[in-house]
Parts: sequence; structure tokens; C-alpha cells
Amino acid sequence: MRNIVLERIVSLFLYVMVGFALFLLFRGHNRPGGGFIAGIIAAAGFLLYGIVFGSEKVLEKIRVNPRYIMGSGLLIALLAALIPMMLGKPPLTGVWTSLAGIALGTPLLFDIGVFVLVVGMIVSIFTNIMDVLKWNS
Amino acid sequence: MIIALPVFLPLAFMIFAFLFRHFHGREYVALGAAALNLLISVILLMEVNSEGMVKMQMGDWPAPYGITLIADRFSALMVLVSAIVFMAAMAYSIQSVDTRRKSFGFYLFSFGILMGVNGSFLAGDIFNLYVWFEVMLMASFILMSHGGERNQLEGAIKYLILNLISSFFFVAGIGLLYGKMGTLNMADIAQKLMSYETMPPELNPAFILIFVGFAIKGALVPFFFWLPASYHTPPPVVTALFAGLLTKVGIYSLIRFYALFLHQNSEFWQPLILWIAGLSMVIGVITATSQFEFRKVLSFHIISQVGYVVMGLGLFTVAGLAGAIFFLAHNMISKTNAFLVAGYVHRQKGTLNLKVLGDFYKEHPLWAIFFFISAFSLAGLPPLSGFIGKYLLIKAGIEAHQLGIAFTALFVGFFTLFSMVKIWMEVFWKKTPEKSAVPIIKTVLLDDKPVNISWMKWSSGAMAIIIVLAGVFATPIVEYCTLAAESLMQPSDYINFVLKNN
Repeated sequence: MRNIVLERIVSLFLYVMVGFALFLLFRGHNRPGGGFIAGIIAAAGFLLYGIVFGSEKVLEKIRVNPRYIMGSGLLIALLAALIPMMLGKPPLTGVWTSLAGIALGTPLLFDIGVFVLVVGMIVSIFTNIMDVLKWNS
Repeated sequence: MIIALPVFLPLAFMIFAFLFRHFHGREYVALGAAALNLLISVILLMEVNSEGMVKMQMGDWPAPYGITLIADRFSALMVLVSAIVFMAAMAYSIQSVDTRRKSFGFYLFSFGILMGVNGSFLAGDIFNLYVWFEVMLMASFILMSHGGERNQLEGAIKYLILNLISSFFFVAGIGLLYGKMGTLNMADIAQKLMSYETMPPELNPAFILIFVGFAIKGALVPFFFWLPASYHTPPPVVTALFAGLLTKVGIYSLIRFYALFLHQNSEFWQPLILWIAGLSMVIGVITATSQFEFRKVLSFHIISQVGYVVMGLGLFTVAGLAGAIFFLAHNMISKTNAFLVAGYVHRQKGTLNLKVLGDFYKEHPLWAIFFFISAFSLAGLPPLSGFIGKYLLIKAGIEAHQLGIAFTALFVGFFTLFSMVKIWMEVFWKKTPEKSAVPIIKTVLLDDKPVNISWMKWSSGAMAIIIVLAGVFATPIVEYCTLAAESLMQPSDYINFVLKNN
């Protein structure tokens, strides 16, 4: 049975969750927040969406196979380790640059990698579980 | 800089294998990555040999706070030998692993094992060591159950549960140790321990827990049951990889911990370790004689040979440790090759039951020679590498006036020879029995068997050549091992090197 009110709320709430997750992601490093927790929150948004609409709609919504999301997350995190090595510093050293007054550095890159990895991982786990349970309303 | 690469290279390959799962040349990319890893480990060994030790602080955080990667002569040799073993396994797998397993991430998880093994050898921080153990355990559990055959899952469950218990003990010990010492850096802990007159008794529970964790991982005597229960179930190349790498990491960590921490309480630990070594040797070798499955015989022998390494550690003299290091390196290569030959026998005959096999020498003389070299190297016949290892250990035992353990090692050597001769007679020499009472049961799924087996032959042959060369030209290797043992006996060098800020 469809519940229009719930569907509207959840599809709006997904954007709220993802927005809040991005806020936490960029707030991290200096203040509470960071890639992992942001990834969990964004994935929780997708999970709510999935509970109401079913796993296929989640995969439609994110468009990319979660496998590639996980892989690219790992790749981004690996880049954060390798960029300092190319500059002759030990891996994972923070390398900072400034763009229009905003400090950008490899720790942010690492956090983004973790964020992407966690989102891909959790989406992949729960869509698989939903497929097994045939949770496609 | 080179010291970080043995960890990051496998990770980079894993990401590649994860993203391009259906890429068709993946075997060759994996082989290339394994070759690159071998090259890196050779460079690392050369650098370590000229400088003594190499270290790196992850993220540029100074020593007791940041994570240290450190390679001394011992760990550099282990990284090199595991790179050789891994290279052989990757070359062998091209034609021995079926396409279904390959496309479900065989290479991905193999490189996971490589990453965990390299990381454990290079870790200078006990929690980091635990993390690498977990990386290795997860990857090895997936490889163990990969393919999902019935007996494979049975082996995998035993393997997983006992190894999880081991990890639990290990991390509980780390927690206690951290609570008492306030640091996780191995050099820092060793330095703080040295400042005590005697080892504080409240640290003993932590070290006992850690020791039990390593003993389960390394399949030492009271804790070896998981190994023979699981090693005969996965595809042959996976067993070869596990036999070469996994238990040896536990033993490596035990040696490292003993040299840094436990020797300060040696009146308790030394007799314990010598007893465990003797019992491992004897029990492993005697239980092996009653087995009639090719890979099970070899699996039980892993326990006995791990006992030899621990014997060298228990002596804790330069000669004993040098023998232990040499024996560890020799055992990784010889054991892997014996399992590689077992894989070929299985491929040809569809079974590994010694009672129904036969005539293998007549049909495949080259493979019989490969087996002869590795098995009789394990038994310790000159001029193969095993002879040098056993000779060094027994000589060190006599010199250290530990006659009991030295004679046990000699005696166990005869039994090892007996088991190896048994396999030789049953599989390679005797005529195939015409009507056997035991039905042939296909144990491992091998759905596609390419006719061309050149990669398998080359990898096993190269290992056999390495075994012979390591026996004939043993002098430089023994000298290197002696230097490695000397630096292990001098933990203050290690401590100063790690804690010195440059």
C-alpha cells in the first residue's frame, strides 16, 4: 500500500540527510565530524528511502553501482596517502594548499574517500539484504 | 620511502581488481604486481643490508605517538621471502584456479593477504600489528571459503572461529599492556620495560594473552587444531599461499616480541618456549605419520617445522636465532612448493588420497623431481636448504647446552624423513592399485583445466631451483641471518633507532 505523505517526507528527508552529512564532512578535522560519521548519516538517508521505496529505487537514485562507489572511495583515500609520497614526505602526511582563502589539504581528501567508501559500503549491504528479503514494495 | 610501498602496492592492486572485476588480463596484471612487489622487496633488503634499519613515520608524526613502519634485517628478509612465495603462487594460479573463482575476486583477496603479511612484518606498533593481522584474517577467511564447496565451508568455520579467538586474546593483551604502559609503540614499550629492575608482575597477564594469540596464529602445540582441520579444503594454490605465509607471521611476531619484551623475564619464558617447541616438533611429526591425505601430511608437518623455528627462539643465542631465521625462510619456500606439487597431483588424479595414488614418477618425472627437492629439503637432506637450517639449529642447541631439545630435533628429523618417504613411495613410486577400497572423491572444484601448464611448471620449478641454490650457496644467507640475529639480540639499537627523531 502506498502512503503518499510518507513518500513525500522521505524523499525530502533524503536531501536533508545528505546535506547534513556534507556539512559534517566539511566541518570535520577541526571540529566534531568527519568522513566516517558523514558517510553513516548519508547512508542512513538512503536507508530510509529504501525502506519506503524499495532497494531498486535507491539504486536508481544513486545511479552508480555501489561497487564503483566503494572502489572510488578507496582510490581517493589512497591518493591522499600517495600525494605526500610524491612530494617526498611520508605517506598520509597532511599537505595543505590554499584556494581563495580556504585551506584545502590531503586530510580532506582522505575524509572524502572515507565518506564515499562508507556510503557505497552501507548502500551495497542493505540493498543486498533487501533483495534477499524481497523488500521491493 | 621504499618501506611504505609493500603496503600500498597491494592496496592499489586491490582497488584495481575491485573496480575492474571482469577485466580479462587480470591474471597477468596480478603477476605484474607480484613481480613489482618482489622488486620492491629486493630493493628494501639491499637498503636495509647497507644501513641496518629503515623506518618511516606515517603522517610524519614523531615516534611514540605516530605509527612506525620499521624494517630491520629480519623483517626485510621475511618481506623478500614472502614476495617470492607470493610471486610463485600468482604464477601458479594463472592455470590452476578456475575462472569462476578468478572473477569472484581471487586476486583481490590474495593481495589482501599480501598486504596484511607485509604490514605485519613492517609494523612497529602493536595495535597496528593487530590491524594487519585482521586484514590478513579477513582476506584469508574469504579465500578459505571462496567457491563455497561443502568441505571448504567446514574447514573455513573452524579456521575462522579459532583465528577470531586468537585475535581476541591478542587485542585483550594489547589493551592490558596499553593500560599499564601508556604506549603502543613497540620500541617505547621495550624501553620502559628495560627501566624496570624486574618485569612487573601485572604485565604477565598481558604477555600471556598475547603469547596465546600468537601461538594460535602460529599453530604451536596446544593450539594447532585449526590448521590440519582446514588446510586441506581450499584450492591447492590457496593452501600453498597460506602454508607459506600465515603461520609464519605469527611466529615472526612471537620472535619480535620475545626479542623486545619477553626475554627480560627469560627464566619464565625460556623453558616454556623450549617445551612448546619440543612438543610441537614431536606431536606434529607423529600425528603426520598416521595421515593418508597428501595435504594433511604436509599440514601436520607445518606444526612440527614451526617447532624448529621456536626452538631456535627458545635458545635465544645468536646462533640459535640465526638458525631460526634461516629455517623460517627455508620453510616458507619448501613448504609452499610441496603444496604446489600436491596441487598438480590433485589436478592430474582428482584425489590426494595416498592409498589410491601411484605411478606419478613414471607419468610426470619432472614434477616428481620438484617434489623430491622440496620434500627432502623439508626432511633436511644435504645439500638442500633444510639441511643447513636443521644443522644450524641443532648445532646452536648443543652449543647452548640444551642437549634435550637438540636431540629431539634430530630425532624428529628422522620422522620427517619417514613421512616424506611415505609420500614419495605412495604417490610417486608404487604402482597405482588396480582396485582400491577407497572411492575417488573429487575434493576441490576445478571446472576448467587448460592443457597448457607452463606457468605451473615454471613457478614450481623456480621454487625448486631456489631451494637447491639456497642450500648450495648458503654461506652469504647464513651470514645475513647471523647479522639479523645479532641485531635482534641488541634491542637497544632498535629502540634508539625508532625513538630517535631526525
